[in-house]
Amino acid sequence: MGRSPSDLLLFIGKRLLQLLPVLLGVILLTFVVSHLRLTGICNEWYPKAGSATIAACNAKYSQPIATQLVVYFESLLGGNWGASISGVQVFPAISAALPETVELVLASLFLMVVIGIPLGVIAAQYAGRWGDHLVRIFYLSGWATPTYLGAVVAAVFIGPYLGLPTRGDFSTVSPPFPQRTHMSVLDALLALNLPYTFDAIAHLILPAAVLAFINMGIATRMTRASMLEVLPLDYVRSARMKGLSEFWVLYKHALRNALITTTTVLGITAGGLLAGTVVVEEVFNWPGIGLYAYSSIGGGGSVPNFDGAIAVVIMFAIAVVVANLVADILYGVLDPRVDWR
Amino acid sequence: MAAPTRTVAPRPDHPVLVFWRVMKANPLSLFGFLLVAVIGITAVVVLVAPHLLVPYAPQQETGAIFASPSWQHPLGTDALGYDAYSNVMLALPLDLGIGFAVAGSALLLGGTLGLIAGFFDTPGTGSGWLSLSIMRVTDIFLSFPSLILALALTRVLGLGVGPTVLAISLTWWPYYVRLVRGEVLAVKHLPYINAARAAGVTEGRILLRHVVRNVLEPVVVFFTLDVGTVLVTYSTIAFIGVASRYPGPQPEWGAMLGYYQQTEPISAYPWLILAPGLAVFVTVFAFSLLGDGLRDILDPRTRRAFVRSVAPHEPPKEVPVAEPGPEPAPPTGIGASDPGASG
Amino acid sequence: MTEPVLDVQDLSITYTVGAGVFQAVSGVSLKIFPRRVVGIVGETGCGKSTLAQAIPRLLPEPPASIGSGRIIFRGTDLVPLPKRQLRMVRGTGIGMIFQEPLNSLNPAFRVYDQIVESIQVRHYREMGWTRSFQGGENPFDYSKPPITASAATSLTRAVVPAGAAEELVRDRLQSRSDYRREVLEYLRLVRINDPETILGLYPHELSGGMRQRIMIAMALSAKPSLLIADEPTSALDVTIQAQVLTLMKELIDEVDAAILFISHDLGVIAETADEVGVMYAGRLVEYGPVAEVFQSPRHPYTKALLRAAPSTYKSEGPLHSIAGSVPNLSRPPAGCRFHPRCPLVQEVCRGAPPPLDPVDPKVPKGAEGVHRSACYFAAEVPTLP
Repeated sequence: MGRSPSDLLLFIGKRLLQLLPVLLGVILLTFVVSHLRLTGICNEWYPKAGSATIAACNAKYSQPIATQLVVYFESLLGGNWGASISGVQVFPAISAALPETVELVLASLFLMVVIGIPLGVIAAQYAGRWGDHLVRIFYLSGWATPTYLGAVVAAVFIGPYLGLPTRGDFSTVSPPFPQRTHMSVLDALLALNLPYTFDAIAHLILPAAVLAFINMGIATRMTRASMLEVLPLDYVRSARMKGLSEFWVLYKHALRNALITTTTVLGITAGGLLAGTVVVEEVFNWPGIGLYAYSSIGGGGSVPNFDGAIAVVIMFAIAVVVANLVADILYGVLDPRVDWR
Repeated sequence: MAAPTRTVAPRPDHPVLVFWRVMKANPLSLFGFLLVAVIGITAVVVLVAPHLLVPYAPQQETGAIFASPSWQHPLGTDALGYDAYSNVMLALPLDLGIGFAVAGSALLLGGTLGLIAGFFDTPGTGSGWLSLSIMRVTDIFLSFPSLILALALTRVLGLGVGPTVLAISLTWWPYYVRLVRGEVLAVKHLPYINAARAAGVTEGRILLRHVVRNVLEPVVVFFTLDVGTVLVTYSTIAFIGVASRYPGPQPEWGAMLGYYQQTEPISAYPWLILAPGLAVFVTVFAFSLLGDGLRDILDPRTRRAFVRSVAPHEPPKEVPVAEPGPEPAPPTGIGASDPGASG
Repeated sequence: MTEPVLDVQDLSITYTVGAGVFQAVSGVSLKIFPRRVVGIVGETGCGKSTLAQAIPRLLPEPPASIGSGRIIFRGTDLVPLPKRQLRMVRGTGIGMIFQEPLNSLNPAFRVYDQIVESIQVRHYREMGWTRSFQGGENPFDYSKPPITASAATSLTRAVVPAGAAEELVRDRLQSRSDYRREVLEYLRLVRINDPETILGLYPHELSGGMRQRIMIAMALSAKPSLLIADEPTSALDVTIQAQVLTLMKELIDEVDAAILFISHDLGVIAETADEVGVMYAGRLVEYGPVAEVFQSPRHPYTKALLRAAPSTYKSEGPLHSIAGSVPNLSRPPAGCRFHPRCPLVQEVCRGAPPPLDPVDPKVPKGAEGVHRSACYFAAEVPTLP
C-alpha cells in the first residue's frame, strides 16, 4: 500500500537515478559519433572555410582523445558549448530556441490527446464497423504522411486556404515586448498583449496540427486496442448497471484503465514528435531547436555547425529520456497496483 | 429413448478459404495487400524494363518548362523541363529497396541480439553480462530519435545515398533488439518451453525452434510497418538535402520535394508537390494498411474478433453411434468409489 | 395481492453468431413479488445467466436479440424502451451483482469512490437533477421510499459512535462528510466491522469475500427494487460463501427488495430462495416453492440433477450423472428439449413441448406460487430412482 504522496517523491527519485547512466551513455556516444573521423572532421564540417580556420580546427582535433574527452565534458557542463563558424554562440542560441520547440510540442500533444484518444474510444466502440474503419484510415494516413509532405502541403495549400499564417511564431520578426520565456503564447500573455496572444496562437496552429496529425496514430491505436481489452470486462458492466450514461461508462471507467497501457507509448511518441520538429520548424520557419538542428546539420545548403550539431543531438536525446521518465511516472500513478516504494 | 449420438466437429476449411474469409472480414487489409502487390510489381518492372513505364530519362530536357499535367507529361514538368512522372517512377525502386534493405538488416542484426539478450539473461553468468551490455547499449541508442542520429551520422560518414543508408542502418537495429527481447521474455517461461527443457532439448534448439516461432508473428507485423518507416526516414533526410540530390541521375521523392520547396514558386504549380508526395504517401499507406491488418490477424488478443467471422458455418453434426444396446455405458464420474466398475 | 416487481412473460432470446443462431432462452415466464427470493438453477449453458442479464438489457444487442416476450418491471415493459430511459431503470430500479468480484469492481478506483458513485446517482435522481426528471411525474422514478423506522435503526447500527469516525478522516474525503457517512453505513450494513480502514483501499488489496460484500453494498446503496444476483458466490471459497449467503438472507428483510438469485449450486439455492425455477436448454422445466421442488421434484431433469449432486457423508457408489449431453441450442430437439436423455420419454414428448402446468391437477392453470412442472408425465417422476 505504498502510494502516499511522500512515496511518490521516492518513486520519482528512484527513476531519476536510473536515468543518470543513460544520460552519461548518451553524452559519450555523441562524443564517439562526432569525433569518429578525426582527420576529416574539419574538412567535412567546414568545407568552405578559409585555411586559417581549418588549421586551427585541425589543431584542436589532433590532440589525444583523452584530452579531447576532458575538454568535451568540461565545456558541456560549463555551459561553453562552442560557436558556429561565424562566431554565433551555441548555448544562447539553443536556450532561446528550446522553449519554442517545447511550446510547439506541448501544443501538438494537446491536440493528440484531445483528438486522438476519443478517436481510439470511438474506434473501439464501433469495432469492425464503419466507424472503426474510418478512424483507422485517418490515423494510418497520418502515419503514412512523411513529415515533410504534411508540412509542405499544410504550408503551401491549407494555410493560405484557411487564412492561417505559415511563417514564424509572430507576424512581426520581433514582437514589441521582451521575450522572457521564449514561448510565444506565454510571452504575449505575460506582456498582457492580447492581439499578439491571438497572433501567436494563430501561428502555432498549423505546425502543431501537422505534428499532431502525423504522430496521432500510435496513441489512437493503443487506445483502441486497450479499450477493446477493457470493454468486455465485468466492471464495465457493473458501471452500466449503476445507471451511468454510456459517456461516463466509457470515459470514466473504461478509459481510465485503458490509458494505463497507452502511457507506455508516450516515449515513442515523443521521439517521433521531436524528430518531426526538424522538418516542421524548417518549413514553417518556427524558431525552435528543430530549425537549429536543420541548419547545424547543413540542411538546405546552409553552413554546417559542428558544435551546434553536437549540442542539438544531446538535447534531443535528453528530451526523449525525459519523456520516457514522464511516461514511466505516469504509468506508476495510473496503475493502482504499482507500489511506489 | 432416441438413438445415441455423438458430436462430430465439421471438417476444417481449406487454408485459402480461411485466408479469403479473413480478408473479407477486414477489407482494409485486403486492399493494403493488393496495393502492396501492385507497387512491388511496378518497382520490379521499372527496375528491369524501364522503357515499359518510364517515358523519359530523369534529367532529360523535354523542352517544356512548368508544363501542366497532360497526356504527354502526366504529372507535368519542373523548372528545368524534366518530366516529373518519370522521376517519380524511377525513384520507386530506390526508395522501396532502401526500405527493405535497412529494415531487413536491422531485423537480422537486432533480432539476433534481441534473441540473445532475451534468452540468455540469467544474471551473474557470462552470457548474463553480455545480455546486460547489449541492453545498455540499446537503451542508449534508443534515446536518440532515429532521424537525428542518422543525420549526425551522415555528416560523419559522408553525404550521398550509400553513406546515408549505412547511417540509417546503424540507428535502426536497436528497435528490433527491444522488440524481439520483449517477445522472448514473454514466451520464455511458458509451460511448454519448460516441458521441452525437461525432455532434454538443448537450449539452443529450444531457442531456434520454439521461441523463434512464437516471436515471429509480432516481428513480421513490425517489419511490414517498418519498411514504410525507413522509407519515410530516408526520404526526410533526402528532403533536408543531405542524401540523394535532385536534380540528379537517381531521383528520390524526398529530394524532389525538398528541391521544389526551396527553389520553385511552388503554390503556382501544385502538381509538382503532388507528384512525389502522392507516390510516397500511397506506398507507405499501402504498407501500413497491410501491417495494421496483419496485426489484427496475428495478435492473439484481437484475433478473437476474427474467429467468429472465420468459424465454420456448419454447426457440429450429430452422428449416430455405431454401438448397439438400449442404454449407453454409464460414464464414471470423478473418483468412482467402486473399484469393480469399468474404468 | 400485491403487484409483482418483475413479470417476465414468454421471453425468448437468441444469439446470432457466425456459427449459427442459438436459442438461448425460449418462452420463459416468471413473476417475482416484493421481498421474495426467486432462485434459478441449472447447468452451465442452460440460459440462466442470459436471462439474468437480459432483464436489465445488459446483453450486447448485435449478437443477442430479444425475439419475443415482455419484461414488465413495476408496470413498464422494458423491451421496447429506448436506451436513455432504460438507463434510468438501472441502479435505482434494478441492481445487479456479478460472479467475479475482482473483475466486477473497477481496479483503478478506491472502495469509497465506487460506492459513493452509486449513492450519487441515486441522489441526483431523487433531487431531480438528471435530465429525465424535467418536472412533473416521471414513471421511472425508481427511488425507494424513505427508510422505515426499523430499517433505519439497523442501517445506523453503528459500531463506532458518530464522533470517532471524524478522527480517521483522510484529506480528500473531508469535504464530503455526508456521503462518507452514508458509505460507512452501507459498509456496516454488509457486516464489515471496521469500514473506515477499507475506504481508501483498492480492490486488489482486499479479499474475495470482502470484495463481494462491497459489490453488495454498492448495489444496495442505490436502493433498487429488484436485485439480480448472478452466481454471486460461485467464485468464493466455501467458508466465505456461507458468510455472504447468511448476509444476503439477513439483508432481504432489511432492504425491502426482491432478489433474483442465479446459481448452479443447488445447496445455495436451497438455503436462500423462497421459490426456485429449474432451467434446461433455455426453458423453465420446473418451478415452485423451494422445499417442494427439492424434496419432491416432478420433472425428470430436476430429479436427475438432485441425484447427481454429490453427498459428502454417504457412500452410494459411483457418482450419478445424466446420460447424454446438453443439446446444441442452434438445433434444439423438437418438443420437450430433455426428451433425448429422459428415462420417461414417449412419443408425445417429441411433439408439442409440454407447458409449465401445476403439478396438482386440481389447481387452476394461472395460480400463483404453486409447484409446476413442464412434463407430460410429472406424476410418474416420484417413481424414478
